[in-house]
Amino acid sequence: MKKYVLIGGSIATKGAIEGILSVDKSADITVICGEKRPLYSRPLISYALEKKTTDEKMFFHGEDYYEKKGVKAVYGVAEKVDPEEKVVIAEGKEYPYDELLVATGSKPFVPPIKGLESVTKKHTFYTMDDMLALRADLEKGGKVLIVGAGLIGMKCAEGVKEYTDDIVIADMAPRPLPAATTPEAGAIVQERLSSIIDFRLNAALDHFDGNKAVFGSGEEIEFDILVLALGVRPQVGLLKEIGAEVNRGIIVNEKMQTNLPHIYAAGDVVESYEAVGESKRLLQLFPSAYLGGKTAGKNMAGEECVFLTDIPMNATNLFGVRITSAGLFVGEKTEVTVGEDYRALYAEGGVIKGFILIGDSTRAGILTDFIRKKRPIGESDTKELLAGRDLSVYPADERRAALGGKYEI
Amino acid sequence: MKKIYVKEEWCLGCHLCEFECAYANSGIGNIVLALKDKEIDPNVKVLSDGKITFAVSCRHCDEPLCISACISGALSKDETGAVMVDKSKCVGCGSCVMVCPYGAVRITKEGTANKCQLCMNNSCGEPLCVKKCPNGAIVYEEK
Ligand SMILES: Cc1cc2nc3c(=O)[nH]c(=O)nc-3n(C[C@H](O)[C@H](O)[C@H](O)COP(=O)(O)OP(=O)(O)OC[C@H]3O[C@@H](n4cnc5c(N)ncnc54)[C@H](O)[C@@H]3O)c2cc1C
Ligand code: SF4
Ligand code: SF4
Repeated sequence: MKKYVLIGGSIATKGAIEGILSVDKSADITVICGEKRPLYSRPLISYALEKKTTDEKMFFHGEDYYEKKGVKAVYGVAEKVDPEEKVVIAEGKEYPYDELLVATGSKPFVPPIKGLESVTKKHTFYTMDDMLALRADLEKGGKVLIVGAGLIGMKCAEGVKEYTDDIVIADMAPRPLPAATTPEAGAIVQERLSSIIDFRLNAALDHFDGNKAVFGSGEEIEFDILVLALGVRPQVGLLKEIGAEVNRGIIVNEKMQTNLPHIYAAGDVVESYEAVGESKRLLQLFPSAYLGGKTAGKNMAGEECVFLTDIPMNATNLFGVRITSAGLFVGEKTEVTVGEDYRALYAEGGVIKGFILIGDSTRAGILTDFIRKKRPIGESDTKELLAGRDLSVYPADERRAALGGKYEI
Repeated sequence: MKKIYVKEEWCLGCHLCEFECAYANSGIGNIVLALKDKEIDPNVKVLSDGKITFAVSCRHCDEPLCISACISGALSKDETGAVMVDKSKCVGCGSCVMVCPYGAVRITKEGTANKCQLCMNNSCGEPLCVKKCPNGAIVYEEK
């Protein structure tokens, strides 16, 4: 019986378990879970804070997921990988492996900021523990400052709103969601949310003085609770110290193999192939983690499988404003406005490279499929693709095969 | 598994399947009471490419992208291979809509995901669209 050790215990790990079991039914799988919790869905922490879901439902495939899959869970941190002996050392014990997956994900980035130690109630927002600690402070009341208007900061704000209206979001960038949107789309989001959120943009944080944030401009903001949402960094340490090829993330090939034999990596921790830019990069997204993990799992169990269709994509709803995007915002832009909705599509060389939709996202997956498959736009008008897209825009033979059953993606 | 397949050359474009779907999922025992004066939001949609019409509903993919993107566990495969929706878990993030290559899952007015569940989640027990299609343009069979 082949021994698999998976270090992580989150989304990429789940993908790997399902990938391994689809090939090797008698697999001996051990998962080392650094958060010392059963599998839960990280993106749900904001929904739990917002009371749109319950703490129990965060364990999105049941608190007994590992048991149901016949997987041994070790609640603890892996300290060392010994690639010669093929063992992982965690909490003082040795776990031998035939195939190893490192899915250690990422960790909130907290830069050294002068005076941060003088802030009494400070939080990051990445784990279930982070959410529970923030909730405990929010329940006692007070004014909140969130530094970072990226996706995590904004989702956090949505949760925080459930407890207080006294909330400020500050960011160095000129608009919210700087990484996930274009300037045009970001400006629309900002405008739609400005009656709900007190934004401080172009605001470079200088230092803290107790419960006061002082910005480069001299502006001071007092708060009771601070949340730092300044981005995340891959946790590459375990493999870096044993000579894995590491850039910002661990470098993997299209099978999610590292350069070290029998060691795979997937999820937020890797730089992997991205199909629009056709190069390796960090993606740090839920579907990428799951599908990358699944690809790794299948290969670990002996079924050759490559992941060449990963692209950046995100769907979210922020205070009722739905934002859906995929691909890269490069090439020629086509923009349309339909009622309140803003839609932009980016194309180059007859193929769609990316899109962003604010508002209705009906059948957005058809555009995403064009991007993933690099399917030529052909006769279709980009404006029409944006206005209303449906299966009729696919080539007839492809559509017939899909509906008639001879074709699976 | 048994899936719905579309024989588009037989489709009359009559949209009857849409109404039968809305009825099947209404929870109301009488088709008139279920549909009269109501705007329907069915799980099957009859579309046209300008030359021919065809009924589109969830393909119950072998490796469903919607499930790989679902952050809440609301989407899952049951033991038969059908992709089912648990509305009580869905948080309406729209990730499934962003990835479904067929445009077969949507967010309803309730703010949660919905799509064809082969009438396994209602009292029909088998797809009513297939049963009622007057021209046999939708079938329910093994591949
Ligand atoms: C609030 C929030 C909202 C999000 N929303 C979305 C969204 O809507 N869509 C989207 O695509 N993505 C979203 N993301 C990102 C998504 O959650 C991540 O991309 C995904 O969780 C990555 O999964 P992973 O398995 O690679 O790693 P992670 O989820 O980061 O988990 C890694 C795990 O490894 C453990 N670990 C680390 N080192 C060790 C060690 N040495 N030993 C044992 N265990 C270790 C960690 O404790 C952690 O539990 C969101 C993230 C947050 C925080
Ligand atoms: S909703 Fe779309 S992706 Fe999901 S199973 Fe149905 S057709 Fe496939
Ligand atoms: S909208 Fe609901 S079903 Fe769709 S991905 Fe989000 S949580 Fe899952």
